[in-house]
Amino acid sequence: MGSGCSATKANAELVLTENKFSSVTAAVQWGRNLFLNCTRFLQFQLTVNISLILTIFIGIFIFSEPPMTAQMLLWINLVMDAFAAIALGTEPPIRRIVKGKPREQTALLNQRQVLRQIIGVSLWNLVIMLLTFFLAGNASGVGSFSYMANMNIKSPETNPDSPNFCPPPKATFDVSKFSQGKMYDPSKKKFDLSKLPEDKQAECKAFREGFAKKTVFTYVFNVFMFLQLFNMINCRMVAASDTNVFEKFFHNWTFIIILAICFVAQYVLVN
Amino acid sequence: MISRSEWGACLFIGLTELLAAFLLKFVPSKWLEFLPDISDFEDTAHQDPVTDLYDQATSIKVTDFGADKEKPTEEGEGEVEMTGDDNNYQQDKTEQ
Repeated sequence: MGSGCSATKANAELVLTENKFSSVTAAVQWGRNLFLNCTRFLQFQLTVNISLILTIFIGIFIFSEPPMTAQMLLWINLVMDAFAAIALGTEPPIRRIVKGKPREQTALLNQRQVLRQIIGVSLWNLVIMLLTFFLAGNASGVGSFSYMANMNIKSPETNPDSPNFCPPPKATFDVSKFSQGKMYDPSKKKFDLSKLPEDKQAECKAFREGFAKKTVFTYVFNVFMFLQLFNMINCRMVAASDTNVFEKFFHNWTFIIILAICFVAQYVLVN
Repeated sequence: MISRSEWGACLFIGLTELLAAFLLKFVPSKWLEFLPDISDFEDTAHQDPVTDLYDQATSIKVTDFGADKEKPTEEGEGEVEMTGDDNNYQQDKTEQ
Protein backbone atom coordinates (compact mmCIF):
# COMPACT_ATOMS: atom_id res chain seq x y z
CA MET A 1 0.00 0.00 0.00
CA GLY A 2 1.10 3.52 -0.66
CA SER A 3 0.70 4.32 3.02
CA GLY A 4 3.20 1.60 4.02
CA CYS A 5 6.66 2.37 5.33
CA SER A 6 9.32 3.26 2.80
CA ALA A 7 11.41 0.12 3.49
CA THR A 8 8.45 -2.11 2.67
CA LYS A 9 7.68 -0.14 -0.46
CA ALA A 10 11.28 -0.30 -1.59
CA ASN A 11 11.29 -4.10 -1.32
CA ALA A 12 7.79 -4.66 -2.69
CA GLU A 13 7.23 -5.88 -6.21
CA LEU A 14 3.98 -3.99 -6.49
CA VAL A 15 2.96 -0.79 -4.67
CA LEU A 16 -0.68 0.27 -4.57
CA THR A 17 -0.41 4.04 -4.43
CA GLU A 18 -4.17 4.52 -4.05
CA ASN A 19 -4.44 2.48 -0.82
CA LYS A 20 -7.30 0.47 -2.32
CA PHE A 21 -7.34 -3.21 -3.09
CA SER A 22 -9.90 -2.58 -5.82
CA SER A 23 -7.06 -1.01 -7.79
CA VAL A 24 -5.65 -4.50 -8.32
CA THR A 25 -8.86 -5.64 -10.02
CA ALA A 26 -8.89 -2.53 -12.18
CA ALA A 27 -5.24 -3.01 -13.09
CA VAL A 28 -5.83 -6.64 -14.05
CA GLN A 29 -8.93 -5.66 -16.03
CA TRP A 30 -7.14 -3.00 -18.04
CA GLY A 31 -3.98 -5.05 -18.43
CA ARG A 32 -5.88 -8.00 -19.87
CA ASN A 33 -7.98 -5.68 -21.97
CA LEU A 34 -4.88 -4.18 -23.52
CA PHE A 35 -3.80 -7.63 -24.62
CA LEU A 36 -7.29 -8.38 -25.94
CA ASN A 37 -7.41 -5.12 -27.89
CA CYS A 38 -4.14 -6.02 -29.60
CA THR A 39 -5.62 -9.42 -30.44
CA ARG A 40 -8.82 -7.84 -31.77
CA PHE A 41 -6.93 -5.53 -34.06
CA LEU A 42 -4.52 -8.23 -35.21
CA GLN A 43 -7.37 -10.60 -36.01
CA PHE A 44 -9.14 -7.93 -38.03
CA GLN A 45 -6.07 -6.75 -39.87
CA LEU A 46 -4.82 -10.21 -40.76
CA THR A 47 -8.25 -11.24 -42.01
CA VAL A 48 -8.55 -8.15 -44.22
CA ASN A 49 -5.01 -8.56 -45.52
CA ILE A 50 -5.38 -12.23 -46.42
CA SER A 51 -8.79 -11.65 -48.02
CA LEU A 52 -7.59 -8.66 -49.99
CA ILE A 53 -4.46 -10.38 -51.29
CA LEU A 54 -6.46 -13.44 -52.39
CA THR A 55 -9.19 -11.31 -53.99
CA ILE A 56 -6.76 -9.17 -55.95
CA PHE A 57 -4.57 -12.11 -56.95
CA ILE A 58 -7.44 -14.24 -58.25
CA GLY A 59 -9.18 -11.19 -59.73
CA ILE A 60 -6.16 -10.40 -61.88
CA PHE A 61 -6.38 -13.84 -63.47
CA ILE A 62 -10.12 -13.52 -64.11
CA PHE A 63 -10.37 -9.91 -65.28
CA SER A 64 -6.85 -9.50 -66.67
CA GLU A 65 -6.49 -6.49 -64.38
CA PRO A 66 -6.83 -5.86 -60.61
CA PRO A 67 -10.52 -5.79 -59.64
CA MET A 68 -9.92 -2.80 -57.37
CA THR A 69 -8.44 0.55 -58.28
CA ALA A 70 -5.79 2.43 -56.30
CA GLN A 71 -8.43 4.70 -54.75
CA MET A 72 -10.45 1.72 -53.57
CA LEU A 73 -7.35 0.14 -52.04
CA LEU A 74 -6.47 3.39 -50.28
CA TRP A 75 -9.92 3.51 -48.70
CA ILE A 76 -9.68 -0.13 -47.63
CA ASN A 77 -6.25 0.57 -46.19
CA LEU A 78 -7.56 3.56 -44.26
CA VAL A 79 -10.36 1.49 -42.74
CA MET A 80 -8.08 -1.47 -42.11
CA ASP A 81 -5.31 0.50 -40.39
CA ALA A 82 -6.43 3.79 -38.93
CA PHE A 83 -10.15 3.38 -38.30
CA ALA A 84 -9.91 -0.21 -37.10
CA ALA A 85 -7.06 0.66 -34.74
CA ILE A 86 -9.12 3.46 -33.19
CA ALA A 87 -12.32 1.43 -33.05
CA LEU A 88 -10.92 -1.85 -31.74
CA GLY A 89 -8.11 -0.34 -29.68
CA THR A 90 -10.53 1.67 -27.55
CA GLU A 91 -12.73 -1.22 -26.45
CA PRO A 92 -13.14 -0.88 -22.67
CA PRO A 93 -12.84 -4.02 -20.53
CA ILE A 94 -15.85 -6.14 -19.73
CA ARG A 95 -16.26 -6.86 -16.03
CA ARG A 96 -16.03 -10.65 -16.42
CA ILE A 97 -12.60 -10.34 -18.01
CA VAL A 98 -10.98 -10.84 -14.56
CA LYS A 99 -12.62 -14.22 -14.09
CA GLY A 100 -10.51 -16.14 -16.58
CA LYS A 101 -7.12 -17.65 -15.97
CA PRO A 102 -4.09 -15.43 -16.57
CA ARG A 103 -2.61 -15.86 -20.00
CA GLU A 104 0.81 -17.35 -20.51
CA GLN A 105 3.62 -14.85 -20.36
CA THR A 106 4.73 -15.65 -23.89
CA ALA A 107 1.32 -15.94 -25.53
CA LEU A 108 1.04 -13.67 -28.56
CA LEU A 109 -2.54 -14.24 -29.58
CA ASN A 110 -5.30 -16.39 -28.19
CA GLN A 111 -3.59 -19.09 -30.16
CA ARG A 112 -5.71 -21.46 -32.15
CA GLN A 113 -9.08 -19.78 -31.61
CA VAL A 114 -7.82 -16.60 -33.26
CA LEU A 115 -6.08 -18.49 -36.05
CA ARG A 116 -9.29 -20.42 -36.67
CA GLN A 117 -11.24 -17.17 -37.04
CA ILE A 118 -8.60 -15.61 -39.29
CA ILE A 119 -8.39 -18.60 -41.63
CA GLY A 120 -12.11 -19.41 -41.57
CA VAL A 121 -13.33 -15.87 -42.15
CA SER A 122 -10.72 -15.26 -44.86
CA LEU A 123 -11.89 -18.37 -46.70
CA TRP A 124 -15.50 -17.28 -46.36
CA ASN A 125 -14.57 -13.87 -47.79
CA LEU A 126 -12.83 -15.57 -50.68
CA VAL A 127 -15.90 -17.68 -51.49
CA ILE A 128 -18.16 -14.61 -51.41
CA MET A 129 -15.78 -12.59 -53.58
CA LEU A 130 -15.52 -15.38 -56.16
CA LEU A 131 -19.31 -15.59 -56.32
CA THR A 132 -19.43 -11.82 -56.75
CA PHE A 133 -16.90 -12.02 -59.59
CA PHE A 134 -19.02 -14.44 -61.53
CA LEU A 135 -22.57 -13.45 -60.59
CA ALA A 136 -22.26 -9.66 -60.65
CA GLY A 137 -22.08 -9.73 -64.45
CA ASN A 138 -25.82 -10.48 -64.61
CA ALA A 139 -26.62 -7.57 -62.35
CA SER A 140 -24.48 -5.21 -64.41
CA GLY A 141 -27.09 -5.11 -67.15
CA VAL A 142 -25.21 -6.86 -69.93
CA GLY A 143 -25.73 -10.42 -68.80
CA SER A 144 -22.50 -11.93 -69.96
CA PHE A 145 -19.57 -9.78 -70.89
CA SER A 146 -16.00 -10.27 -71.89
CA TYR A 147 -13.76 -10.19 -68.85
CA MET A 148 -11.11 -8.65 -71.06
CA ALA A 149 -13.34 -5.60 -71.69
CA ASN A 150 -11.70 -2.20 -71.55
CA MET A 151 -13.29 0.01 -68.91
CA ASN A 152 -11.87 3.23 -70.31
CA ILE A 153 -13.85 3.34 -73.56
CA LYS A 154 -16.09 6.40 -73.54
CA SER A 155 -19.62 6.33 -74.87
CA PRO A 156 -19.44 6.70 -78.67
CA GLU A 157 -22.60 8.79 -78.81
CA THR A 158 -24.08 10.40 -75.70
CA ASN A 159 -26.93 12.32 -77.29
CA PRO A 160 -30.10 10.27 -76.72
CA ASP A 161 -31.76 11.88 -79.73
CA SER A 162 -29.08 10.74 -82.08
CA PRO A 163 -29.77 7.59 -84.14
CA ASN A 164 -26.27 6.43 -83.17
CA PHE A 165 -26.93 6.77 -79.45
CA CYS A 166 -25.24 4.00 -77.46
CA PRO A 167 -26.99 3.42 -74.13
CA PRO A 168 -25.00 2.16 -71.11
CA PRO A 169 -25.99 -1.34 -69.96
CA LYS A 170 -27.58 -0.04 -66.79
CA ALA A 171 -30.14 2.52 -67.90
CA THR A 172 -29.30 5.59 -65.86
CA PHE A 173 -31.93 7.61 -67.68
CA ASP A 174 -35.65 7.49 -68.28
CA VAL A 175 -36.16 4.52 -70.58
CA SER A 176 -39.75 5.55 -71.28
CA LYS A 177 -38.33 8.27 -73.52
CA PHE A 178 -36.95 5.53 -75.68
CA SER A 179 -40.05 3.42 -75.85
CA GLN A 180 -40.92 5.15 -79.10
CA GLY A 181 -37.43 4.68 -80.42
CA LYS A 182 -36.21 1.78 -82.43
CA MET A 183 -33.61 0.44 -80.02
CA TYR A 184 -35.57 -0.08 -76.82
CA ASP A 185 -37.63 -3.24 -76.60
CA PRO A 186 -40.19 -2.78 -73.77
CA SER A 187 -41.16 -6.46 -73.75
CA LYS A 188 -37.58 -7.56 -73.06
CA LYS A 189 -36.79 -4.38 -71.15
CA LYS A 190 -33.52 -3.94 -72.94
CA PHE A 191 -31.93 -2.18 -75.86
CA ASP A 192 -31.68 -4.00 -79.14
CA LEU A 193 -28.31 -2.94 -80.48
CA SER A 194 -28.86 -4.67 -83.82
CA LYS A 195 -30.98 -1.69 -84.78
CA LEU A 196 -27.96 0.57 -84.63
CA PRO A 197 -26.07 1.30 -87.86
CA GLU A 198 -23.75 -1.64 -88.55
CA ASP A 199 -20.54 0.32 -88.25
CA LYS A 200 -21.57 1.53 -84.76
CA GLN A 201 -22.57 -1.82 -83.30
CA ALA A 202 -19.11 -3.13 -82.42
CA GLU A 203 -18.10 0.19 -80.92
CA CYS A 204 -21.25 0.34 -78.80
CA LYS A 205 -20.85 -3.30 -77.68
CA ALA A 206 -17.28 -2.62 -76.52
CA PHE A 207 -18.42 0.44 -74.57
CA ARG A 208 -21.26 -1.44 -72.90
CA GLU A 209 -18.99 -4.31 -71.87
CA GLY A 210 -16.47 -1.88 -70.44
CA PHE A 211 -19.24 -0.12 -68.55
CA ALA A 212 -20.52 -3.45 -67.23
CA LYS A 213 -17.04 -4.38 -66.06
CA LYS A 214 -16.79 -1.09 -64.20
CA THR A 215 -20.12 -1.85 -62.53
CA VAL A 216 -18.92 -5.30 -61.51
CA PHE A 217 -15.83 -3.76 -59.93
CA THR A 218 -18.07 -1.42 -57.96
CA TYR A 219 -20.03 -4.42 -56.67
CA VAL A 220 -16.77 -6.18 -55.78
CA PHE A 221 -15.55 -3.16 -53.85
CA ASN A 222 -18.88 -2.65 -52.10
CA VAL A 223 -19.30 -6.27 -51.11
CA PHE A 224 -15.71 -6.48 -49.87
CA MET A 225 -16.11 -3.37 -47.75
CA PHE A 226 -19.37 -4.56 -46.20
CA LEU A 227 -17.80 -7.92 -45.40
CA GLN A 228 -14.95 -6.16 -43.63
CA LEU A 229 -17.15 -3.70 -41.75
CA PHE A 230 -19.18 -6.57 -40.32
CA ASN A 231 -15.95 -8.41 -39.67
CA MET A 232 -14.93 -5.46 -37.52
CA ILE A 233 -17.96 -6.19 -35.33
CA ASN A 234 -16.90 -9.86 -35.22
CA CYS A 235 -13.47 -8.94 -33.99
CA ARG A 236 -14.87 -7.25 -30.87
CA MET A 237 -15.06 -10.66 -29.22
CA VAL A 238 -11.98 -12.79 -29.60
CA ALA A 239 -12.07 -15.11 -26.59
CA ALA A 240 -12.88 -18.75 -27.25
CA SER A 241 -16.15 -18.67 -25.32
CA ASP A 242 -17.41 -15.33 -26.68
CA THR A 243 -20.13 -16.04 -29.19
CA ASN A 244 -22.23 -12.89 -28.81
CA VAL A 245 -20.35 -10.20 -30.73
CA PHE A 246 -22.98 -7.60 -29.81
CA GLU A 247 -22.38 -7.95 -26.07
CA LYS A 248 -21.96 -4.49 -24.51
CA PHE A 249 -22.11 -3.07 -28.01
CA PHE A 250 -23.09 0.42 -26.87
CA HIS A 251 -20.47 0.85 -24.20
CA ASN A 252 -17.87 1.97 -26.74
CA TRP A 253 -19.19 4.97 -28.63
CA THR A 254 -15.92 5.41 -30.47
CA PHE A 255 -16.49 2.06 -32.16
CA ILE A 256 -20.04 2.94 -33.16
CA ILE A 257 -19.06 6.38 -34.49
CA ILE A 258 -16.19 4.91 -36.52
CA LEU A 259 -18.48 2.22 -37.92
CA ALA A 260 -21.11 4.82 -38.85
CA ILE A 261 -18.47 7.01 -40.53
CA CYS A 262 -17.30 4.01 -42.57
CA PHE A 263 -20.83 3.16 -43.73
CA VAL A 264 -21.63 6.75 -44.69
CA ALA A 265 -18.28 7.28 -46.41
CA GLN A 266 -18.76 4.04 -48.32
CA TYR A 267 -22.12 5.25 -49.59
CA VAL A 268 -20.66 8.61 -50.62
CA LEU A 269 -17.63 7.03 -52.30
CA VAL A 270 -19.67 4.60 -54.37
CA ASN A 271 -22.36 7.07 -55.40
CA MET B 1 -24.52 4.35 -59.33
CA ILE B 2 -25.91 1.43 -57.43
CA SER B 3 -29.66 1.15 -56.96
CA ARG B 4 -31.31 0.84 -53.58
CA SER B 5 -31.99 -2.87 -54.02
CA GLU B 6 -28.35 -3.47 -54.96
CA TRP B 7 -27.25 -1.65 -51.81
CA GLY B 8 -29.53 -3.96 -49.88
CA ALA B 9 -28.01 -6.98 -51.58
CA CYS B 10 -24.46 -5.84 -50.74
CA LEU B 11 -25.48 -5.24 -47.12
CA PHE B 12 -27.11 -8.66 -46.89
CA ILE B 13 -24.01 -10.35 -48.31
CA GLY B 14 -21.88 -8.44 -45.80
CA LEU B 15 -24.11 -9.65 -42.97
CA THR B 16 -23.27 -13.26 -43.81
CA GLU B 17 -19.85 -12.52 -42.31
CA LEU B 18 -21.45 -12.39 -38.86
CA LEU B 19 -23.08 -15.76 -39.40
CA ALA B 20 -19.88 -17.36 -40.73
CA ALA B 21 -17.83 -16.09 -37.80
CA PHE B 22 -20.52 -17.22 -35.35
CA LEU B 23 -20.56 -20.74 -36.79
CA LEU B 24 -16.77 -20.91 -36.73
CA LYS B 25 -16.85 -20.45 -32.96
CA PHE B 26 -18.47 -23.88 -32.67
CA VAL B 27 -15.71 -25.71 -34.49
CA PRO B 28 -14.48 -28.35 -32.01
CA SER B 29 -11.05 -27.63 -30.63
CA LYS B 30 -9.94 -31.12 -31.71
CA TRP B 31 -10.26 -30.01 -35.32
CA LEU B 32 -7.82 -27.21 -34.68
CA GLU B 33 -4.92 -29.37 -33.63
CA PHE B 34 -3.38 -29.17 -37.07
CA LEU B 35 -2.94 -25.42 -36.60
CA PRO B 36 0.44 -24.35 -35.23
CA ASP B 37 0.50 -23.38 -31.57
CA ILE B 38 2.17 -20.01 -31.55
CA SER B 39 2.02 -19.46 -27.82
CA ASP B 40 5.75 -20.05 -27.35
CA PHE B 41 6.79 -17.98 -30.33
CA GLU B 42 8.97 -15.65 -28.30
CA ASP B 43 10.85 -18.56 -26.76
CA THR B 44 11.68 -20.19 -30.06
CA ALA B 45 12.43 -17.04 -32.01
CA HIS B 46 16.11 -17.13 -31.13
CA GLN B 47 16.47 -20.56 -32.74
CA ASP B 48 16.12 -19.04 -36.15
CA PRO B 49 19.42 -19.50 -38.07
CA VAL B 50 19.42 -15.91 -39.32
CA THR B 51 19.03 -14.41 -35.86
CA ASP B 52 21.59 -16.92 -34.52
CA LEU B 53 24.09 -15.67 -37.06
CA TYR B 54 23.27 -12.08 -36.17
CA ASP B 55 23.73 -12.82 -32.47
CA GLN B 56 27.10 -14.42 -33.15
CA ALA B 57 28.21 -11.56 -35.35
CA THR B 58 27.23 -8.92 -32.81
CA SER B 59 28.86 -10.83 -29.95
CA ILE B 60 32.35 -10.60 -31.52
CA LYS B 61 34.45 -8.13 -29.52
CA VAL B 62 37.27 -6.17 -31.03
CA THR B 63 39.86 -5.84 -28.29
CA ASP B 64 43.21 -4.82 -29.85
CA PHE B 65 41.98 -2.59 -32.54
CA GLY B 66 44.88 -1.49 -34.74
CA ALA B 67 47.58 -3.40 -32.84
CA ASP B 68 48.33 -5.90 -35.60
CA LYS B 69 47.76 -3.48 -38.40
CA GLU B 70 50.27 -4.04 -41.14
CA LYS B 71 51.38 -1.44 -43.62
CA PRO B 72 49.96 -2.19 -47.06
CA THR B 73 52.50 -3.38 -49.59
CA GLU B 74 52.82 -1.82 -53.00
CA GLU B 75 51.40 -4.87 -54.70
CA GLY B 76 47.84 -5.65 -53.84
CA GLU B 77 47.42 -2.50 -51.81
CA GLY B 78 44.16 -2.47 -50.00
CA GLU B 79 43.32 -6.02 -51.00
CA VAL B 80 41.98 -8.39 -48.42
CA GLU B 81 43.02 -12.00 -48.61
CA MET B 82 40.07 -14.31 -48.50
CA THR B 83 40.85 -17.28 -46.32
CA GLY B 84 37.74 -19.32 -46.79
CA ASP B 85 34.45 -19.70 -48.46
CA ASP B 86 31.88 -17.19 -47.27
CA ASN B 87 29.31 -19.90 -47.00
CA ASN B 88 31.46 -21.75 -44.52
CA TYR B 89 31.78 -18.81 -42.19
CA GLN B 90 29.84 -20.58 -39.49
CA GLN B 91 31.93 -23.73 -39.82
CA ASP B 92 35.24 -21.83 -39.84
CA LYS B 93 34.29 -19.98 -36.74
CA THR B 94 33.47 -23.13 -34.81
CA GLU B 95 36.71 -24.78 -35.93
CA GLN B 96 38.65 -21.89 -34.51
